[in-house]
Amino acid sequence: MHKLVSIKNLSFAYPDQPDKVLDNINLTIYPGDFLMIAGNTGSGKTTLLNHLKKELMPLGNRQGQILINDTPIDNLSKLESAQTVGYVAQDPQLQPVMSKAIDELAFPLENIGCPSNEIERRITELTNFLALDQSLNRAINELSGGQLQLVNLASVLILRPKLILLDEPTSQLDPLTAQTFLNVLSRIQQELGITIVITEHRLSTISGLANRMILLQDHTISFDGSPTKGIEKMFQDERLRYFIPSIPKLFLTNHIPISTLPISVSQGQAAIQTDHLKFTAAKPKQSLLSETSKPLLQAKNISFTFDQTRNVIDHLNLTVNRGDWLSIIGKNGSGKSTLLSLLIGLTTPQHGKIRFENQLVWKLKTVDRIKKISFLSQTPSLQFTADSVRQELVVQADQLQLSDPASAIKRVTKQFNLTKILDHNPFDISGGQQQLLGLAIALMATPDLLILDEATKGLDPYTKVFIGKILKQYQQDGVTIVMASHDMEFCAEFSDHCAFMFDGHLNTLLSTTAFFANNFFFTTPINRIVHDQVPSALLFDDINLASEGR
Amino acid sequence: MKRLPLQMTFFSQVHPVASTIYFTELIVCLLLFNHVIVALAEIVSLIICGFYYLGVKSMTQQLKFGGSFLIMILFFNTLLNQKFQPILWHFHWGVITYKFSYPAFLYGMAMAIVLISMLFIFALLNKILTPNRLIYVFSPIAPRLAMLVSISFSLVANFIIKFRRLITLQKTRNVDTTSGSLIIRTKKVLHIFEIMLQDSLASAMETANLMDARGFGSTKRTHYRSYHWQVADIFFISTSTLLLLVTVYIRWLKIGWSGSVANFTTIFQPTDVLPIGFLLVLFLLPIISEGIYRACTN
Repeated sequence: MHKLVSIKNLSFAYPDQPDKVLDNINLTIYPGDFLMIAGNTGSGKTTLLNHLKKELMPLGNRQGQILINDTPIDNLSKLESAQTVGYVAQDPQLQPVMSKAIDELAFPLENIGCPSNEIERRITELTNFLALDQSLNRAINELSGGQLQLVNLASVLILRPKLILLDEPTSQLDPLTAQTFLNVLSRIQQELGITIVITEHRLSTISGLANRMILLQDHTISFDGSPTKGIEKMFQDERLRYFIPSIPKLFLTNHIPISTLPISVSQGQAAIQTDHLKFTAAKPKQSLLSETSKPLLQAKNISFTFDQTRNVIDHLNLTVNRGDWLSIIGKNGSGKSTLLSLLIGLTTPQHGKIRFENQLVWKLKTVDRIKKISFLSQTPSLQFTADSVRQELVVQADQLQLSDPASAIKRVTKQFNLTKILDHNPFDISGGQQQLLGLAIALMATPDLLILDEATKGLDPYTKVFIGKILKQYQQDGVTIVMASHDMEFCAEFSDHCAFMFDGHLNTLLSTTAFFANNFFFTTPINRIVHDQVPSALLFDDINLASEGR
Repeated sequence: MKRLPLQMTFFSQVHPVASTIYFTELIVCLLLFNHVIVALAEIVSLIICGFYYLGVKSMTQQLKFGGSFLIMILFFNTLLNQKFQPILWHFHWGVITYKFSYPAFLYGMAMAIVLISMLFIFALLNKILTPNRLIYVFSPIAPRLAMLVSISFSLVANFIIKFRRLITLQKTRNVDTTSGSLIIRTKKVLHIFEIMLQDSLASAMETANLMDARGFGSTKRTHYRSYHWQVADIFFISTSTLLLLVTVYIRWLKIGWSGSVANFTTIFQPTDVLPIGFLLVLFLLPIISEGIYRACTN
């Protein structure tokens, strides 16, 4: 069979780094493959992916051979490379260079010298295939994250490549938008026969679409086979276990004997029905929230508009009690971030009042506010201010006028695993590390209120749980948390209350269990498969296997 | 009344080369005359066009900015032209004397109006000559420069959005640009620029790599947008060029122009009617053409 990509004995180490990031990789990718690369953060997934695109190959000490269509990758001309291998990056904002979607699609074709009529034909064809025709004349900065990532994919697909590489393309998207994006990828692979190679942390959807999975462990490929078998292999590794989607994890944890491990909701439901599995509720988790908690933050009838044409926040009311953990859920662009910005007093609403400890929040002096309310934005780098991680912490301790800055710095450094990167530039560290640094800065003050905007965005599942546990500890120590998130399972596991942001206001503010148990679309996979038996079950450890039926 | 979307107007559909020539003609005309009444005719026409093409909100903002700009230019002109008569008002403070003379006021007024008109022309140009139209016009002359200009448009827009977000989010680190003395505020803004630069450099490198990955620089670039000359374009540009030639001839006759500040003694001279008439037609040509375009609807 023809080999599209052939990697032989590839080893790679970054300059001045003694350890190899990739060690003796051997991999063959065939035309039409939908290959997912799984592995821990730092296992070399992105480095391996970048080795398949000549222009993105990292600098360093490399050994071995990479062939694309039987041609050594170094021998590919720029033109051949562009027309053979496409690449979609993790951050949708990084790729676009033009101001309108249509110009972004024309850009690669103009680069390869396509005549005008051919460009028009390809754009017409592709935009109809991807249903992008309505967004064509919109400005790039007006597109939502999902639409932008679709334009990025289209801008690569328009060159009609044989292979498309995607580096965690849905990590910045909400779950429903991510699902739509992955379904488009699946269509591209099935209907056009284009080979897809993707790295992903959220394995639940992708495992059902990919026909092949490789697992990177200890910088080499430890598994190459079907996603189902790959997940079984991941279960053997204590850390990789966190990456396993909740449905297969339920079956693997309970050692339920089954011929094919279910991954999707429909497969899970089918397995339960076929094997007559019965589940009972596990012991409910204890809520930290006291019945007599007093309000800490109150928003009354607030409205806010950016352009005087539409209220992004529309007559919204909210009371957050001391010691609570409230998660605000909603799609991209629903106004969650704007609401958080109002709650912390960074923006003032046109109407209504927001009171923190009975004081108008926007009237608090900045220096007083940062001592009582901490905020982590969804782009932590925009809150950085120094040249090194250590300096960031020193500056924050200084701004907070801490009595013992050294011990506060030591505490957060240890808590958020920052020791190894203390001397690194905060703008050069990975997205996950920036998130951890942002949290460390936010929690140096031991605030009364912690406001988090997508704190788990782009993090691997292990780090998410790690952060969740730390935040829970802070909550136990008296910190009230308000968090905007897309991450259903994280909200279900850690928050006390959840609310849905829609049409400028919050609705259905309920206890977490009641919220998810009553939702149909925005709920956890476990709730979907066992809702009939245990309506309150949200996570795999909320239920126990009562009987195996057979 | 609901405003017509910009892309549906005749002016935004004119051939990019014709639009470029037209805007150049407007700028030339602005520089040809310096009488207050002529400048007033020019700015009034531009304000009408501005309200029509840019919308009430955008134009009102520009007028507010223009108003403060006008006061500033007036002040400096009267300050720098102290020797003219008649003096309307004067002020003594120790050895300092400030004379507010009528010619200096009229001259300052004319200069301010011309400068503000220039800003209005660029505001219109920015909306009508979109980046891809600019690329089309300038690519044959300087292809790489045209591409860079286009990318800059998009980067500047992103830069402004990011800068605003930084100003807001840095308050969480006690960097508040709205408090403190002027020196402290300036230092804070400069610090934010420094952060912006660090953040932008990191992302610009990745963007450049992703441009390369999509074949940038692999061969000679082509252009998707192709524009064809229509009869209306030729009519539009011929009329405007004819009007420009007439106004140049009027200027050659030394009408609408005074060589010295001392000659600025009256707002209106009867001969000014001539340039005003032609300039009104030239500056309002897009609106007149809109009317003809609508009248020609089937």
